[in-house]
Amino acid sequence: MRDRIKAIVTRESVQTLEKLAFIFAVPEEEDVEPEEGETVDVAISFSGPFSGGMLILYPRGDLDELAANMLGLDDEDEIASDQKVDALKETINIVCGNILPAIGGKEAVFDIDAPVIIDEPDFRPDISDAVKVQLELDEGLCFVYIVFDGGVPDVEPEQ
Amino acid sequence: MALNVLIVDDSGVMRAMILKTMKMTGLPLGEIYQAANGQEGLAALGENWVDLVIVDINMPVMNGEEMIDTMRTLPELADIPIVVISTEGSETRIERLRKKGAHFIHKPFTPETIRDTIMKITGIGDGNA
Repeated sequence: MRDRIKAIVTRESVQTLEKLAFIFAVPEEEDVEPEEGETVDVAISFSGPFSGGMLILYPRGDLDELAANMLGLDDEDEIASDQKVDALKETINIVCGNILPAIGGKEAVFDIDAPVIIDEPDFRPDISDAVKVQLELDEGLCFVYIVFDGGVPDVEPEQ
Repeated sequence: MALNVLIVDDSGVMRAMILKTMKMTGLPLGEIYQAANGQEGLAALGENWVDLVIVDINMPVMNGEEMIDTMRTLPELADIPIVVISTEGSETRIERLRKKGAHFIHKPFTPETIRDTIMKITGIGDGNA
């Protein structure tokens, strides 16, 4: 079941980055640990037929491109730090919003909380039992984690 | 006919994306108003003539569904076309919004989806406008 969820998380993350910001991400299978300070971290929690949270560690060096592409800015345009943060929050919101019905089925109703930036690694949610996906971007690896309260749920057949 | 549009989303980046995408579609746009939640959206509707409301669902203070419910109770706002642009994936919730007269676009969206939905709602571009 973890493999099916990993495939869903990979697919929805890749598709969201491509459709939202024209960023082409390549899944990286070799397990790598994130380096402290190299990423900007954003988390979101959800509740419904199953509950839990997601955490995305986004490469700091790729954040300008994410925000610029979402906003349609040119290279010479300055991007405010709150725009970069907002872009990352919107990204995890959309990724999460697309993953949950892919796992729980289209009839399932979930509530998704507002995304939050995690300033210190110590404040990250517990991801020891998370399903982890790594995506290679231009400047580094993007780490996507999803964790479920009470264990990994069954995946509903795709419609 | 130029469309006056109100975009309601708590993400400034998403409001900018929606506006950028609407400009790309070639639709005739008039005044564009923005609000960060349903309460601000209703205030903007009270102060301006708006032809189309684009609204997110998950927002603080007043969410999009509450804003739609309020609009439908006010005679002067009840007939304004509404497009919900949201990450919502539950068919149950989407159907509930459709029953309230809202059209639904899923995030992430394409310019074509926004253009086609607005053309369908307003009749702009099919020779009727």
